[in-house]
Amino acid sequence: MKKLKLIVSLIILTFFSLFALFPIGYIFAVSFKNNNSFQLSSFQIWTDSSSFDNYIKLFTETQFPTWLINSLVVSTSVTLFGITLAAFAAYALSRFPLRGGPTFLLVLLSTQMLPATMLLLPFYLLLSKFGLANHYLGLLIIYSSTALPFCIWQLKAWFDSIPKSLEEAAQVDGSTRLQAFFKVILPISGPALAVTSLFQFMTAWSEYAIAAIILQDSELFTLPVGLKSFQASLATEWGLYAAAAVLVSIPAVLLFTLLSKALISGLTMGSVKG
Amino acid sequence: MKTDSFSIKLIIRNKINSSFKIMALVLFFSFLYPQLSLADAKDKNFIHIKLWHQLMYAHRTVQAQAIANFEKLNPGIKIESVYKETEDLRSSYQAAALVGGGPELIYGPSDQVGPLQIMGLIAPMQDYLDLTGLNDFDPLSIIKVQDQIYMLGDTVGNHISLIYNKKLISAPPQNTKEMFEQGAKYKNGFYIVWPMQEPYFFVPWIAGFGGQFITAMAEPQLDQPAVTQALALVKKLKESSFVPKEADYETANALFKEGKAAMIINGDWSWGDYQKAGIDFSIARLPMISETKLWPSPLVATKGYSVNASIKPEKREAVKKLLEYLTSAEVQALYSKEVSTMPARLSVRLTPTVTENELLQKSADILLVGTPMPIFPELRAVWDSLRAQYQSVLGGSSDPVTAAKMAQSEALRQIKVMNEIRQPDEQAYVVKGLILLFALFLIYKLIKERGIFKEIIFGEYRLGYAFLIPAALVVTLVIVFPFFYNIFISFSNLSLKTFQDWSITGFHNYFDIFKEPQFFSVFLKTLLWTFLNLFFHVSIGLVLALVLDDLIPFKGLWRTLLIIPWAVPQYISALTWRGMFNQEFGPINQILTEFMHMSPVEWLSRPFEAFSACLLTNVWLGFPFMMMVTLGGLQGIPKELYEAARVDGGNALHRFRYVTWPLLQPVLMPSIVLGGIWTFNNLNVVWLVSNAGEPADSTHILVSYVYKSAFNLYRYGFSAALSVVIFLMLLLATLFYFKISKSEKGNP
Amino acid sequence: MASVQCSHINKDFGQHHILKDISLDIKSGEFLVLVGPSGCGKSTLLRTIAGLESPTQGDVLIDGKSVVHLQPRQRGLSMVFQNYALYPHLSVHQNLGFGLNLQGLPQVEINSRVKEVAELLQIQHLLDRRPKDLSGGQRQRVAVGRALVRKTDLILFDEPLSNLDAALRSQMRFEIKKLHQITGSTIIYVTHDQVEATTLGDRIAVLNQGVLEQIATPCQIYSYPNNRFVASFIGTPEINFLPGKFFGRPEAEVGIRPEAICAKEDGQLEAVVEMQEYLGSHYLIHARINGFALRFISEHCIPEGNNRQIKLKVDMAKLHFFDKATGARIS
Repeated sequence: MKKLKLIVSLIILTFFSLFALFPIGYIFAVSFKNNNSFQLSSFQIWTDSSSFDNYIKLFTETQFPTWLINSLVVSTSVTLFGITLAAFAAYALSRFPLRGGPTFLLVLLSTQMLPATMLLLPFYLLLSKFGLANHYLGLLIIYSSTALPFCIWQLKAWFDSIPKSLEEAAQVDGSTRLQAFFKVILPISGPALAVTSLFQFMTAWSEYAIAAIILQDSELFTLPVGLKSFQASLATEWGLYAAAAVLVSIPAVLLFTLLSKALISGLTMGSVKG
Repeated sequence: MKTDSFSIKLIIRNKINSSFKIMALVLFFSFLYPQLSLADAKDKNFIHIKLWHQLMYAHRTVQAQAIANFEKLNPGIKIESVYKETEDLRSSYQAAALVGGGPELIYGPSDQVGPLQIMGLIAPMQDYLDLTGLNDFDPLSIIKVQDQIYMLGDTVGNHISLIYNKKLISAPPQNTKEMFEQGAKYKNGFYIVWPMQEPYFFVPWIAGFGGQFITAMAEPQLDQPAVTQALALVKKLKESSFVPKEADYETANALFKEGKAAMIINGDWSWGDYQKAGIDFSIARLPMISETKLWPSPLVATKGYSVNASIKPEKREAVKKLLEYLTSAEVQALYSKEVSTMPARLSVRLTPTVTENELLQKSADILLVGTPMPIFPELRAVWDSLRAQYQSVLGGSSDPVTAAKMAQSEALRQIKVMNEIRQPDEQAYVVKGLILLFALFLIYKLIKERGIFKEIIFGEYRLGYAFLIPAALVVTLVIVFPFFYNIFISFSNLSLKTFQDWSITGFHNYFDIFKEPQFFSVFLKTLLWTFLNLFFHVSIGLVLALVLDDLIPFKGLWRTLLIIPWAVPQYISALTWRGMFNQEFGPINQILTEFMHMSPVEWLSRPFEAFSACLLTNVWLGFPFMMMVTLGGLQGIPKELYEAARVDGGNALHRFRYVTWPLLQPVLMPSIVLGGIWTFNNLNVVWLVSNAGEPADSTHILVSYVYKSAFNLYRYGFSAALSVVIFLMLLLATLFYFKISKSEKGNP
Repeated sequence: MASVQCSHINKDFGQHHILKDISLDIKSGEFLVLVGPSGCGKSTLLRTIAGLESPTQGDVLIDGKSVVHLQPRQRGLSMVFQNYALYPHLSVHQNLGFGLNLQGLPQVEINSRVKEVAELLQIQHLLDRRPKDLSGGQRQRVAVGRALVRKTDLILFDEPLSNLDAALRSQMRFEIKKLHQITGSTIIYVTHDQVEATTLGDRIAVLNQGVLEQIATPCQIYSYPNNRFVASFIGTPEINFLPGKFFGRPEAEVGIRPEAICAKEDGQLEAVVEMQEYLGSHYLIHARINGFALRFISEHCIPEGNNRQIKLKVDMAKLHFFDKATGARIS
């Protein structure tokens, strides 16, 4: 009986793994084709006519390297900025009975319910009026806030799980609240901060719609916007697009697999608490 | 002293964390600095002109050549040329120009003049042109609005024609009767293909039946026999055996380039690409309609340069020079030579470059039966309504007569909506009154709670407030403020015509939502979409989690593989799946035909199939999340409970029902609610997989409908209102859920 | 060494009035135990003295100076927490030295003090370990060590032994008492265990629902409880209560400790034996008088005792009379 169960389980796993990987294989195959087409004549990922040409072209003939650096700069700064904001806010919400604290948390929760368009449109209109267009500053602020709710929620759940007596011991030992935060709480928050940071990074890395509105000079493009420019309604450079898609996805996938366990425990922790 | 790797990590983390703030500030300012200087003042020694365009690849090479030459001749000027896809070009130019930014020159098809001129974003060009020299230009290439020139074209054409592969057929059909006859006899693949999604490739047939789809006064005339007959013709053609069952632009293009189709109906922009691909082709008029003996009439347009309405005075001279150069005989001849475009300058047409160009001569022949493309913004509404009905007819869900009627009524409705500038009425006072009340309420609250300021600065918890305020500030600025701005707009008449000066009009937009014919069907579709997605997400996630929670070899490996769909950025996944659903070449149909011996499915051109395609994509995207949450929840169930159930005599099903499921619910429910909200609001998948609601706007869910209304149809006030409605729906649903779960908690 | 005064301390948490007008005076060098049932406010009072809570009203004075507006670190005290609150990312040595580091003491001095305290608590061999690698008892010692190393005049203990098993608890009780003798610091010790209270404290302060019921030496509290509550809280097995009418005082309730009752032929009371528990050195016998439960201890059991009628003699000198309504002691 147990053996049968194992076999059935393995069949299910294999089936869904194939399901999960199929599009990945497809895009790899397209990235190796060099005749600017997206059709596959066979199911092989690597055929006789395959090559790495598209990847090479990507780095030598397009602005891909610029976009790559842009994305790295933007994502990293957004992460640092966003996590700083989130960590401080989450700690405050966890430790202090602040007026407007619960309201703030509710606001954060309800931001999840906003349809994307609800902010996209005002951004578009407001940016036009205030000239924040074509500037990383606008992008920085907006990106930081799109991931803030989740990050604050995660970090707050983490801080809640640290007994208050730890800071109290530090305070009695001679530290101010601020010192207690930096010398005791932060050092033990490494894993939680790491997880949240990586999530924040990935959100910024993969974001398209807002960047498309804000950035206009192709030198400033981040990867998602740059990728989109390979596409045109009447002429898509499929090979380049696929190669770029592969390269853009790899860090995202890597980070994700590293974080998956931690992310989920954060989600379930937060959800059980309320 | 044992220094394990963990303590090293801790030390590193300590160090990173303790210099957290500093690093953040340093990096923040370090890249801010170059940005500040990037904006416009690059190299102070040069005058920088920006040019945005939507030229195809081969054309871009020519442009680069011309620009390089210009820079050589004018050492003080540097040109930055940026490619943007047509739709993108329009919308990003709008965004940039509205604040006085954007490129100095914009190059694109003539129909972009309409909206840009109304919004005041492009300037009359008299000051930038040599008016006498305009005599050399084909009148079609000089675009005027209210007698002012807003665009000067360098090429006339953009017209579609029959493009045939000379290696596959020797002569194109002269009339439709011949087309069907030859087609039936053609055995080397498809006889003819064309992009079946865009009405641009359809309207020429209308003239062949003696009709005009839009008058010179911007009135659509879609409900006439000519249109019905044209639709019937195209439908008959599509259903022929020598035409593929489904073909968007990509597919049609690919089929022709690979020699799988003998002819393609495509425009002059594609010639350069075909030439580069080495295809031996020629062109001809669309075959005469045998019944009427009339020639179909392709739309002829110019592509040209418009000037930004706010150009800095010091750049004017340079812009004038560039404009003159790029529209000069020399440059136009270059284009003609390299990519066979028809020059706007009549003088160039007389030169050997053109007269000896077989393609261009044939093109001239085609242009003779062409119709100038209208440029008024109403055209957009006509395209939109026609596109939907055209796709319906080809997809088999409508017939020509009904489609024509509906296209006309929808076009009229959209034009009315686009043009009407609603005037504020009594409702406006009500709204303004409410806003005033709200503002007063806020002020009242602020005064009442003014103790809070003291508390923040001097109170016991001032550190806490200091910590919270930055994040709160950002959230207010980026989320709360636009949120209220959106609500504000929803009460206004903001749209294309009123872009610069709009006013509060009242609740009209909200009424419009419920009066909108598609509203309820889109709403129901959204509910169906959400429900089906959740159902599959949860069930697949549950099955996989149950499997993984047991003793399985390589558990980590399976988990990693299964998580990948969640990890890949959404827009990449959506576009990839779209490619996979391609009817002719997509691997999905390949699997269906080769391994399951079923007939290929027209995934993207039929409503039901398109919906299924979006659904499949989203299920793929979403099941890993549910799987991981469920797995986490399962791992939180104490094993003793299972043992107790076993002892009590339960089998696997019992254990699931009485132990697993009840204990899983508290963990699962919030995630399901969250997942439901994300699904309900998911713009990316639906938009990208179905390409903005195709076929025929049938795959829209509420959010994508909003997006389209805002960014394609300029109905900003309306979309804002719809966004608010969506938000309220979700809010109510969530509150409802909380209420239920609270009362359930009370009764264990 | 520090003296501590609490003057009319009131503390509210929202609607709940946790501490009700508490005033007490702790002498310098004294070992004062705050004892009471869960929720009585003893931890809150301790934390108020520490500065981790602010009283809604009232003052806290250390050495005559008001400290109620001062931060914990400014009050010159140290504290041992119930869950030890050791810094997880630091070694034992660093845990102990944390406060000293903050003070800016030179490392040499820190090391010597840490060594001193570690030897005192016999944890020298643990100095390089992390808290997670220690047993409960070891962690507890580190927590105590952290408080000692700063050589403060006032040390606060918040139920430090409640997470230990019984054997360890009694051992640690002994050690804490010894530490008090060695350091001479003023110690305020919170516990819910009345055995700890009576064995450790120079004086005991009994709290109930935010009110200070009595503060006196263990002996005084045991022999002269101020009210019914204190009488029942201190003393194990618990004191017996009978209606005053059995002793001619109908307006009172009478408290009789188990050791003040014995089974004697010439006893005043008639009772029925319900159950006899063997405790090794003696028996705890449960009986009933007219429906009222009674417990007393006896060296021998009552043969064929169950449901047997016996006569009980009460030591009249050791009766405690309490007002039926208020519970206060009547003479």
